[in-house]
Order: sequence, then C-alpha cells, then structure tokens
Amino acid sequence: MKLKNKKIMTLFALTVLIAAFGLTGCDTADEAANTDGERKLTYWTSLTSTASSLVTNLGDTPMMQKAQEMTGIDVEFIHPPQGQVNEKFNILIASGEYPDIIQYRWTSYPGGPQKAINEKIIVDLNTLKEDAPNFFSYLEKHDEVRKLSLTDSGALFSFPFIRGDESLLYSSGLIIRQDWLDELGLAMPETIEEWETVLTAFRDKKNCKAPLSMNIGHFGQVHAFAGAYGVGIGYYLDNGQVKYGMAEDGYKDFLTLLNKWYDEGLLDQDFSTLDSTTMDANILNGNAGVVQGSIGNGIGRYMNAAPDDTYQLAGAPYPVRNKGEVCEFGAMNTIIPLMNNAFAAISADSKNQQLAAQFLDFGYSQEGQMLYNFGIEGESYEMIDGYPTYTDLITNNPEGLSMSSALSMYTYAYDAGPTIQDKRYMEQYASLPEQKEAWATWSTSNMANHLLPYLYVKDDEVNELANLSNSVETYANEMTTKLIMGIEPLENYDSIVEELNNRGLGRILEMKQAAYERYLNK
Amino acid sequence: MLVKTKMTKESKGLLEWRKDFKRNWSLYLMFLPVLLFYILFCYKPMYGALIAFKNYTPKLGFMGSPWAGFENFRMFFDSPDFIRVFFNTIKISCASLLFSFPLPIILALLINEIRNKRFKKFVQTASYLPHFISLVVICGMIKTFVASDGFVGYFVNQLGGTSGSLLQQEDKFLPIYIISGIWQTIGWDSIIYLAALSGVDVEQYEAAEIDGAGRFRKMFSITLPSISNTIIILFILAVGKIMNVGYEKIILLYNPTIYNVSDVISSYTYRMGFETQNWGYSSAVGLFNSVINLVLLLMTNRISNKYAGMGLW
Repeated sequence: MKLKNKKIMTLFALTVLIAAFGLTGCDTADEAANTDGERKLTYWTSLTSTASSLVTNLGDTPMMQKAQEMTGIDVEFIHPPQGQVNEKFNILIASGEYPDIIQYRWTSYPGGPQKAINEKIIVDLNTLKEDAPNFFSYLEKHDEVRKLSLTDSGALFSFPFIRGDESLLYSSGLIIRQDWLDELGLAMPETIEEWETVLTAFRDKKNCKAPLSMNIGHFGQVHAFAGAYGVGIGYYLDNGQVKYGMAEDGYKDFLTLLNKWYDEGLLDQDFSTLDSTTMDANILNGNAGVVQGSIGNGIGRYMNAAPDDTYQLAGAPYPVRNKGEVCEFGAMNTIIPLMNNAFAAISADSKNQQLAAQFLDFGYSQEGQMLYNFGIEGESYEMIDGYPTYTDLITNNPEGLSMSSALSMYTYAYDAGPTIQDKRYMEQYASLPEQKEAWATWSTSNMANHLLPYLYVKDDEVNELANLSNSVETYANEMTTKLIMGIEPLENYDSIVEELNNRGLGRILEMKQAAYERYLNK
Repeated sequence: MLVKTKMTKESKGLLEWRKDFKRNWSLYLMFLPVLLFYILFCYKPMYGALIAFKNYTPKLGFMGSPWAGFENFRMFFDSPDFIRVFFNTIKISCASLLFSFPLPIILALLINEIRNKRFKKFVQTASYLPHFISLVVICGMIKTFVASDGFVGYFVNQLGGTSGSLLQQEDKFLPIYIISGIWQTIGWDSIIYLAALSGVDVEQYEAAEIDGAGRFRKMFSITLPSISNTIIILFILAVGKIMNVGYEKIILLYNPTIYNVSDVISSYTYRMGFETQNWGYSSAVGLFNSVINLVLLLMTNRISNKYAGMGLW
C-alpha cells in the first residue's frame, strides 16, 4: 500500500516537473548565418495593430513580397508581441545580438540616438553613402529633413519616415457638428465671441451636456483657443526663441476663458477625467458639439458610425481674436513623425550592412515610393491619367475590410516605414467631402513658424532634462486643470508661474534653446 | 505529512538529511519547481537593484553601466514632489489597512454563521466575483459610476451640491479608492479566514452551548481566538506591504486635478521609468520603497513576538 502510494507520488512529482519545464520551453530560433552570395537580411520591427489583425508577419503582406522580389533580397522579419515593443526592444539591446535592421523610435533611446551610435549598437549611415544613393540625394535636396535626421555630431542614425508634402503635416483640428449649426442658423464660428455664442446655443437649444468635450491633452494637441491669445500650449518657437506656453503672457486669458466656460457648462464637466472613448461617445450621441480629432481617426470614423443621415461634421478653423485673422497656432506634425516605425537603423555588428542599406534605400527610389504608398499596380492601384488611383480592393474591399486595414497589406503610408509619404495617398484616404474640407481648413494657421523640430539634447543633459520636464509638466498639468475648474483661483496664476520656474523651467528652456541653435547650425 | 511523521526529533546533520532525502526524494523533487521559481523570479532579479546606483544603459548591461553613486536617490529626495508622494503613499496604505483588513474577517465570521447552505454559497460566489474581473475593467466601471451622470456620481453630487465627476474632487478620491478596493477583494480575502474557521473544533461549540453561550459569546470566546494566529500573520504581511500601493489602479483612476491626493511613490516611479525611460532613477525610488517595507515588516514582527507571543519567525 505504502509502496503504491510512493509510486503515485513519484509519478505525480515527475508530471509536475515536466509541466513546469515545459512551460518555460525555449523557442530558440535558428540563427540564419549568411553564407557568401546569399542576399538575406533580418529585420526587427513592430507590426502595427492594424496589420497584425490580418497577418502575423510583415513578410506575408503582398507589399513586402513584392519588395523582396524587386530588390532580390530575402528579408526575415522579427516582431515583438503587440503592446510589448518597448520591453522587447530593451531586451533586444541588452542581449547584445542584433538583427541587421532595427526599426524603432530611436529618438527615445536613453541618451538619444547619438549614444546608440557611440555604444556601437547602430551604425552611422554616412559610412554607407554609396549604398543608399536615393536616400542621400533626397537629403541633399531637402535641407530640413537633413537637419532633422542628423544628430548634433553630424551622424545619421536611421532611414526615417518622411512626410513628402507640407499638406501632410496638417491632419487634425477641431471638429464641429455642422448639422447643428445649420439647424440653429449659425455660421461657422471664427472669433472667441462667436465660439461662445455657438457653444451656448448648443447647450441651451440642443440640450447638450458637454458642448465642448475635450481634456487638457486634447487642447494641447491642437493649441485651440490658446492660439487666439497668441500663446501655444507646451513648448513652441516664437521668433527663434523656445517658449513654454504656461509661462507666457496671454496664457492667463486662455485659462480665464476656459474657467468661465467650465462654470457656465460650456466645457465638459468631466473635463479632467475625460478619455478619448468618452469623447468619441459624446460626439456621436449628441452629448458634445465640438471635439478634437483627425481626418481619418476623427471625422472619417465618426461619419462611418453616424447615428442618422442628417448627422454632419465639419472641421472648424482655429479660433482667433478678430475676424479675418489667421491663427498663429494649430495642430501640425513634424516632417519626420516620432513613431515606432519611423526610424530604421542598421546595427553596428551586422555583416550585411551594405545589403541592408540597399534594401532600405529602395523605399526612397521611384519604384519603392510607388510600392510603399500605393502597393502593386493592377492589384491595389491603377494608373489613371498619370494618377495612382486605389482600386476597389482598397477603397471598397470585397471582404469588408476598412480602408486602413486594406492599406496595411499594401502600403507603409497608412502608418510609417522607411519611405516618403505621398500626398496622393492622403488625397484618396480623405475620401469624404467633409474630410477634404477639414484638411484644407486645418492647414490654415501659422503653426509652421512655431513648431519645434525634434531636438537632440546633449548626452549629459538627457537625464536632467527628463527629470525637470517631468516635474514641470506634472505640475503644469495639475495646475492648468485646477485653474480651469476653479479649484485654484486665477489670482494664484503668478505664483504658479513662479513655482514652474522654481522647478527648473528656465533650465529646460535653456537646454532646448541651445539644442535648437545647434539644429539651426547643422 | 509524510515528512513530519517519518522525521525524528533531532533531524540535524547531513547524514540525517541524506537519509531523509533518500526516503522522500519524490517530495523534494516536487518542491524543486517552487524553489526554482523563487530563485529565478525573486532572488535572481534582486541584483537588478544595482541599477539604482548606476547610470543604466541596456547595451552596457547591469555590470557595465557607469556608477552614479547616490545621485539617483539625491534627485528623488530633492524632487519638489517627494514629500507629497511619500505622504500620499502612507495615507492611502494606512487607510487601506484600516478599512480593508478587518472587513474580510467580519465577512468570514458572518458567512460562517449562515446556516442555509444555498444562501451561503450564493453570498460567497457573489463576493468573489469582482476578484476575477480585470483591473482595467474594474476601473472603467468605477469611472463610469462616479462620472457626473453615473449612478453614484449623480447622487453624491446632488447631496453634496458639487458637480463633475467625483474623481475630479480631491476629497472623494480616498473613499472611492478604499470602497472600490473592498468591493474588489473582500470575498477573495475572506477565503483564508473561512479555511481557518473550518478547522475550529466543533466540540468546543457544543460544550459552550451546553454552558448556555449565545452566538456572540461563542464568536468572541471560541471563533476569534481560534483564528487569531491567522489574523496576526496576515496582519504582519499586510504591514510589510504598506508602501506598495498598487500603481495600476492609481494610474487608471487618477488625473491631474487630484494629483495632490492620489500621486504615490509607485505612480511617480511609473511616470519616471516608462515615460522618460530613466531606469536608474525609477529603481532608486523602488528600492527606497522596498527598504521601508522591510523595516516595517521587521518592526511589526518584533512587536507581535513581544506582545502576542507569535510572529512570522
């Protein structure tokens, strides 16, 4: 009896052991060593959530198969799991063994991209100039892109995603219920007073719970209403000087206005807890009349989900003080967006650096740009009168895929990648007349004079800047919401600005200004 | 159990151990995965605390990164938000301990008194349920409940003459955090007490009944003393975790308006570590947290040993 017990026990123990080890089973992938003459690369990049709902590997998309066929280079893609890009990137860096190409938001690398080059993780692409003629000739022709891509020491760390036309830099702004304006006989508001009239009418006549439904982050993204008082939100440029909106004249007027609107119920009462999901619900079910959003993810998505046929949205112009003025501030992207897939770098110990440069350079060639923006001719687009027109496969997918899902199989343009985004992509992506009009409206601001480029901070300043910024911005956010909600009286504004300075705002501006000047001198 | 009965009183010495190993090797084998788990996931990562004293960069690794001395700690103590996050952490933890600790005991006692089996099962299941819901969902629900048009938010605003989501009001954050915490954990935490209660000798109750003891008399004189050891041990463990306010829940619930009362050490660390990628600094703050926890744990254990005659060791 006892013996039997023991046997069972042993068996059980073994089972537990096997299960325990089985779970931690290692998935050692075969390290594909490149033998001579074989044109094969490894490429680490995150797969966008849009694409990952359709394929498990970028190499399986028709676009990438075509790219491999056209370049004659085999590429093996390695993807981190969804939502673990940063963690997996850190593990990859710590492992010391790198794939040939690593595509990541290198600007977020601790210490900046120059540090990654110094640490011999990635290579300075200037050494591979001959293998990337298309990319380098583009840089020569576009000085701003060149300045943005170079670190302060003049090193080139990546093949970036470049927005190829100025119009592509404007893609979001204020969205208003056009059908309500029409119904109430109101014109599109321009000045602050007109905005107040419109919001009041929405509140009183449309029984709208939150006429203006935006949180502090949303205001920051479009600089709306602050712009009317001649200040931006956050950091911006003014006549070559780096400034921080909250510490500037005019910001108090902006806060006073929002405080008044909050009191009167024109601004969402749940202003500081508002998240984007709630904002979406508000604009769709009539709880809000004005929100912030983009052409595709905002207007396009809302119009698709429109509750009835009369539902109509429009992009609103940025509010100004006097009629006819053009707002100084508005939403604007940088030419090279700071996105996960916007920077493809070549690792320093790769044996295939030249091949990698050739493959990445393809994205900047004529054929490469066509492929990455429009996909395959005859399949995802047709040339009609010299204009690459997306076919029904993209615009009206037979399997019911949304346009961005379909685009994710054939292009990089919907997200980011080592190529140049084409204006003609956006012209077709913004297919609704509302979207086209909003695009034009939102492009009207003088933001180009105020937008800060991505700044390369000095190695030894990186930590200091991060800590000070965190402290200053946390405090600024907290006080901004409190001032708007009236928890903190507006009389305290001056002492709040003083506290911002105590927390090191001056030092932050000093570091940013110096970095900006280094940028100008590149 | 096998081990206990087979072992003699003086089991010291390698020889004894080898004998024991030979006899019960299968038990040791079963214990191995647990041991490995603790070594791999609890002890091995401890050397990572080293980066609190370093300017950490992933490429150079734990050992290769340059030393920073106490720089990271100095920055934390000098930070204008230090006092605030420190006291918020203590305030929120103590309040949690004060309200969330005794309630599962009371629930367990109540459940223990229920005679109707079906009703008992129903109460237990209903109180466990929130434990199985993901925290993100729980927080989403809380936000909806306390929004200006949510069913809790609406009534509280009507009664108190306030407006807007309750999470925008400083004085409401702590109650929301504590009450939702109780709702989340009370059922699950009561299980361990119920288990202890099931071990109480039934004969004692019978004897007490003959002596004419009522329900409450029995509860105070038999039930509570019987599970007091469990309560003390769990209390010591809870004190040891006092600085560990779960950052997930705080981050999901807070917003800039109530930073003043809701920003704690762990949420501060999170913002530093993930938003600014300053790992050395975050680890320094985390290490500081752990040291305080350890001190508190040792102190409570000592006090308990002295006055209650029992402790963790």
